[in-house]
Amino acid sequence: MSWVFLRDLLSGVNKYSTGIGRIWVAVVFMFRLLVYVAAAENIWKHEHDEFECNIKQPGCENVCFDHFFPVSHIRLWALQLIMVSTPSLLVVFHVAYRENREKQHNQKLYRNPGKIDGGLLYTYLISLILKTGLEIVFLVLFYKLYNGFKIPHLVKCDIKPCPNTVDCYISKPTEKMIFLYFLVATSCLCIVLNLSELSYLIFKYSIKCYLKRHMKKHQ
Amino acid sequence: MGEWSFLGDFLEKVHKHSTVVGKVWLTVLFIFRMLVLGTAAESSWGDEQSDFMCDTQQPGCENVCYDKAFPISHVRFWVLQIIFVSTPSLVYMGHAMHTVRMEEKRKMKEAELEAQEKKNGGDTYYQQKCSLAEKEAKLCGWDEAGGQIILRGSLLNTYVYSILIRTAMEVAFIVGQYVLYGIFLETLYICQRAPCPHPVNCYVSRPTEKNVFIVFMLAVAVLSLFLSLAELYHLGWKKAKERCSRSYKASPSTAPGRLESAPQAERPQMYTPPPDFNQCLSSPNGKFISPFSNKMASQQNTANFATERVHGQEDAAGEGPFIKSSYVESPEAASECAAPAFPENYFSEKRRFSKASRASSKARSDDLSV
Repeated sequence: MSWVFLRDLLSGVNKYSTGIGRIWVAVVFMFRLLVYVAAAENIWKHEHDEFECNIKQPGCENVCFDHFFPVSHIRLWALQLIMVSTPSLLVVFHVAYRENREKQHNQKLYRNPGKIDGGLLYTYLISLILKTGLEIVFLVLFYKLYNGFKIPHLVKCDIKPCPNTVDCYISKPTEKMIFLYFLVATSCLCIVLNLSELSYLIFKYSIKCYLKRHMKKHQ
Repeated sequence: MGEWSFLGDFLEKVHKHSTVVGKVWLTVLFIFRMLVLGTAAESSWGDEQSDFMCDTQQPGCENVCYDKAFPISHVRFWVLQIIFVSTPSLVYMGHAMHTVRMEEKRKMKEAELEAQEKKNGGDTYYQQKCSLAEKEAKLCGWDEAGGQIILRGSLLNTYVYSILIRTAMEVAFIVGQYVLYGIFLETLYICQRAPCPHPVNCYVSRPTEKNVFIVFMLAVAVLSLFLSLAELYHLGWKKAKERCSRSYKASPSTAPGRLESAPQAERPQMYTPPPDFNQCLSSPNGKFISPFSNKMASQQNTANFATERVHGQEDAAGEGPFIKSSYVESPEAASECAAPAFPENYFSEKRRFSKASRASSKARSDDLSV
């Protein structure tokens, strides 16, 4: 199992997306998935081995690392990528359901099963809301877990079995911070894209609805 | 290397919609940057921190000294550089795909309209709408008769802007790398940062090997920058040439009516879509085959010159494209590998231009030509 799986899933999503949706897929691929796989993974690879405390007491480093990094940044990043991509599958499933229905009844029930209208529109809107919600949840989680988006180079730890307050040094803090900011920036960009797509769709279809009603009244 | 397949797939599509120089740039990006980074450079920097040794036993000193010496690792810097430098091309590709999609929608609507009008019997209204729609499509960059994407108007602007932004990114990253690390990596780094008790000697792992890669990647970045500038110059020169030829040819005898009809009549004859490069390699027509498409290049270029001449007349009146380029989108056109049907005066023009133009643009036949 690798990220190719996610990539293939999202390529399918691309077919049934609006223009802004396609930009979102491109941003997720290029700026999040690719950066994660090509750069970020390697930075956090040996974070535990390179975490060093100024003490010889066995076990002290372990407990301190565990205290300061309950869930590693990189694992949260991976979870975020997966969670944020998953709501798009709702749209794919709905289109598959429509096509299946057409097959079962052996007649053309929809003008175009992939066109965003009717029930598929609501599914699409729900997927957008879920995506945005999950992005915000993960950003808040990052902020709360690590007290902001900064990574200090030194942390003070006094958890047993450390006999006193011990200086512990985090490896590559500057590089990690750069990529953390990158993650936050791309998350925010994706939130903006999702919200603009949401408002665009709502606006477009309410205008359509209004015009239809207007035509009916005149007729 | 597998991770770069994400970007590689996107850029394959950009490859189709690029000019000659653009294709060379993309090849340089693929081979000399992505491939080298993914295979060789990554392993060279693999043990960068574990083998970064400081002459001290003070715990934590190595960590902080490494962090001070390398705020961002070279490899990660190059990854970001590749991503940011590729992004403008993807924006252009998005625009090109959008144009294709709009054209497909337009064709569908036209077909529907045709069916409707045929039912009602209102021919003239349909014809008017059709010609209007065609003109619209031409403005957007789609040639109905040839079935190609023509690089003009907003699409060409997007292309030029993408190259400009790409150039700016290259310069920014080259300057950034110089500011961060200079050109060469020193073996010894003297570090003075708490908790190191005094200035400590720290030794970088594999400095010579890293220097080789640093110099290589810097050279490739400069080469890419040069290629981007060459592409800009190429586009700008063509535009200036076209404007000059237009100002010379603006004559009162050219009636507007003739201008309007000329393109319609001449377009099917003046050039046929260039065949796909792979198919042309096996063509029996020896004149147009070469292992490295140089002859294809001159053939394509002269075809484009002929195109520009004809378009130059047509555009003297109207808003006119900045620079024209053609690209085969339809598979039927792409399968034609025989000698394209050139207009009668093509060969005389070809000879004239082949002598005049020394520019050896090593174009492939499916290049976007300007």
